[in-house]
Amino acid sequence: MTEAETPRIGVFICHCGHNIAGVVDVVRVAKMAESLPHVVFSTDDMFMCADAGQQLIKDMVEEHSLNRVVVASCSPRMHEPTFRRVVEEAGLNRYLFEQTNLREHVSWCHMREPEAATEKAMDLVRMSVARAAKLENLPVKSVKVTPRTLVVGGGITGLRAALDIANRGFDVVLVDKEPKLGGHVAKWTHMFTGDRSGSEVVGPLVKEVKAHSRIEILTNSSVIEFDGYIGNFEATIENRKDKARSKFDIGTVIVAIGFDAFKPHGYYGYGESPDIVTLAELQEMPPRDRLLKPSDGKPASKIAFIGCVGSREPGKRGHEHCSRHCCPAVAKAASDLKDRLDEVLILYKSIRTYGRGHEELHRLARSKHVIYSRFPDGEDPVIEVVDGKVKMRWTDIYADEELQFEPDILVLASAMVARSDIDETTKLFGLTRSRDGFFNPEHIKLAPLTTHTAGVMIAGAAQAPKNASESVVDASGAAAKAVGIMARGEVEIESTVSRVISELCSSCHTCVTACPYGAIEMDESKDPPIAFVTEAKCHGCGTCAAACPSSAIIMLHSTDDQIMTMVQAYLCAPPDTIGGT
Amino acid sequence: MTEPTSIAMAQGSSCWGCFQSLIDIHLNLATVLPLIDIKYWQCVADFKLKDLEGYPDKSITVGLYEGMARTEEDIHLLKLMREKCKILISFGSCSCFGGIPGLANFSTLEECLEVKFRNNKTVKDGEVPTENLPTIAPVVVPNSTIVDFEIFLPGCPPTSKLILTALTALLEGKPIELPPHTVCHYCDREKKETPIEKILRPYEGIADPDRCLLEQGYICVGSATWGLCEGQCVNHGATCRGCFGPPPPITNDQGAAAISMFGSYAPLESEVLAETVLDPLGCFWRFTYPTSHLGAIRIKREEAKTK
Repeated sequence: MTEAETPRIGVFICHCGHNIAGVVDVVRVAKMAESLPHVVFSTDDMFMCADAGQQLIKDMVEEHSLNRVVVASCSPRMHEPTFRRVVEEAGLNRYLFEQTNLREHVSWCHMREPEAATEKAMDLVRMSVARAAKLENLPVKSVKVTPRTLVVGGGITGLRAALDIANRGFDVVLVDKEPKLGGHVAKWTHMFTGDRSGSEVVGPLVKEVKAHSRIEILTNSSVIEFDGYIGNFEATIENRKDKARSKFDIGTVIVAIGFDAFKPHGYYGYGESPDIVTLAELQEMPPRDRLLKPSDGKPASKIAFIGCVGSREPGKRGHEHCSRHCCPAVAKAASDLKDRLDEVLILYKSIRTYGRGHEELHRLARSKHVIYSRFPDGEDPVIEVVDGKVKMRWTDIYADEELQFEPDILVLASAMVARSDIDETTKLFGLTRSRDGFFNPEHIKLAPLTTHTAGVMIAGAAQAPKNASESVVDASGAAAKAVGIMARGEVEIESTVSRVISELCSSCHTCVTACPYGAIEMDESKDPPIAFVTEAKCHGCGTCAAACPSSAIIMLHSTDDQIMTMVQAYLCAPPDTIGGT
Repeated sequence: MTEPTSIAMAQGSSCWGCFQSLIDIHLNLATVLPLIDIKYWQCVADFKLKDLEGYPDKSITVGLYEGMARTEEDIHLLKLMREKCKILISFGSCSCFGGIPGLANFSTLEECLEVKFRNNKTVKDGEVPTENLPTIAPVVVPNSTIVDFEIFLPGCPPTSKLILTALTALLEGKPIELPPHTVCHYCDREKKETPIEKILRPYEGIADPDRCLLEQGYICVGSATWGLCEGQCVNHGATCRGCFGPPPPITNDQGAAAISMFGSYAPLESEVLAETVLDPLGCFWRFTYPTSHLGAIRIKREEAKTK
């Protein structure tokens, strides 16, 4: 299509069943759209995303020679890919499609104000139509993908992911900073559910990974440099001992760095006696027939657990979340130990045995007469170490009585927290973190394993507290994502990227500083160097274009002209298209 | 030798600095003067306004208009220049964007009169003079909204070199080709992509002579400013105040571009910014307020009052 061609816009207003039409007067919106400049066809339909709706678009493009399509429906996050494909099948460039969000932005949030919602819908459609007239063809580009995945972290998540990928015929570089593979799980004695120890669970995986010809294992090693873009990353990995460095071309990445078991200094006398340990420390005690007190090596006969240590603390950054694994893990450890000890006591705020088999563990522990005692929120048990003995005092909610206990060992079920060095990893791979300190997925529901850095996946407890089973599910999911990218051999990259008009750039570096994705560099081959955008790294956020003081950067698909047109359409609507009266 | 080119030079409300800069081409005047036939130039050549009024329309080849036009007299002169000249040059930043006199738009006309005449610190019992003075417009509007120009030569003042380049090209009948780069292009200082941690006033601290002033915390608007000055100030230790206005297209809003650059460069709390950037309007729109978006709103508001 030439730029001189007059826009012929088709507008399709979606009912989304009752979702939009239940609030917004879709017929009125469609009618209004007819009167807008360049609109040659406008209608409303029950489900634009359904086959019939898609076919309608294709038919109308043909019948009315439409060269721009506006669909007013749900969020573009939901169906922009669908409609882009539809207009492509109808012979139009995908960037000549414009979506208006009448669901999340209108009907769902203005449910009780149908009149005002309809007016807002008309405003939005008017703006979209104005923008559509200014849309331009953009090329659809793709880049080749190196068929190799970098898996960061050799715990149960990283191992599973590495194997899944290697078994599908792709190379894997598996990096772990520890000298041995297996992560936390390998060190643990009680795994729930099931009766096997951690090393029994993870051992076979490690064996298989080590034997696999497609997996290169680098233990004692860290990724120290990471650059490039989806399909074409370069990672520099350093051996932590001999400082030897090696470089790898990488197509995709799975970050599975796991978590840190919180060391609860300042909680319940932790550190004041060797007999006060965390759940992780209990798990790591060498397995033997009798449980021995760490302080004097004598057999223990009474043990107590306290739950939610460093978890579920409102207002305390990094400790507000539920660590999810501890309730079932405590139940499992307690019921195992009850077979060998006289008394096992669990103090808790509440019990969350949400997963498959978890509640059964809880019940098993109770059936073995493990004592569960609930303490009130805000009244934590008091722990004192007197003459080397651990003394506990707390109020039991149900008995409404102050109780005391003197365990041989006190176990604190401490939180899963983000890795202490997660900051470096975050920067290295261009990731973001949520309030709890763990990595953010690209979208919590729609894209939980991918991140905002295309080609970089996250899995396991690096993303949120998760137990081993959940982490393994993640691992296979992330592996599938990585394989999906590599199996295609090339990936399409968005053309909605920023572009530097080199004559106008005066190398002030503002954009380099502003870009959150490290996508802009100075092209040193020019004198003076000018800004240069690596398109595959650009996410099209437009920050650089807004920041560029000499207007040397154009944000393709959101040009100043396209945005100003929308503002104008909103503020200066022709009188007969204004909503309301 | 070809006929000398006829030229008229007029001044509105301004400081005469641009014409001074023209004269500062020094010995080159010996080359330029024989090529021109001056038809009008207040203060320099002995012509009166009626002489200019008497020329046939479009009889003068080149006209330079310096300054903005706020008095009735200025506006008359500007329109007259347009009538008489084939090529009219908007000469200097006052003429192009409103310049320093455009800062008067921060205040109402009454406030200006108050400070200048009635309550002037150096005058006793001051009064607004009424005799023999032209009416003052309620607000400074960009010259380009009064007449059309063929050429804009910004600068406060335009450098002698720029004037010579432009005049020579014009007299030879060639297009004036000016590089579009901003001041940063000409700045020798090193840039490290460091966001600003703290904002410094010009008198605070001692600036590193080799590093970008903006990165050191001094507000320099060089990156939003057309570098026709070739970076004179920044290479001599002073921040750029933006006197050449925005890079082409010069209809850009220089202050808005500078302030949005600043927003991503100085990730500071808005309260901190408000406390330390004491005069954002004067800082980012020092030379271009009347042609900016904000300035346009102000102009509309002041004009609405008089209707």
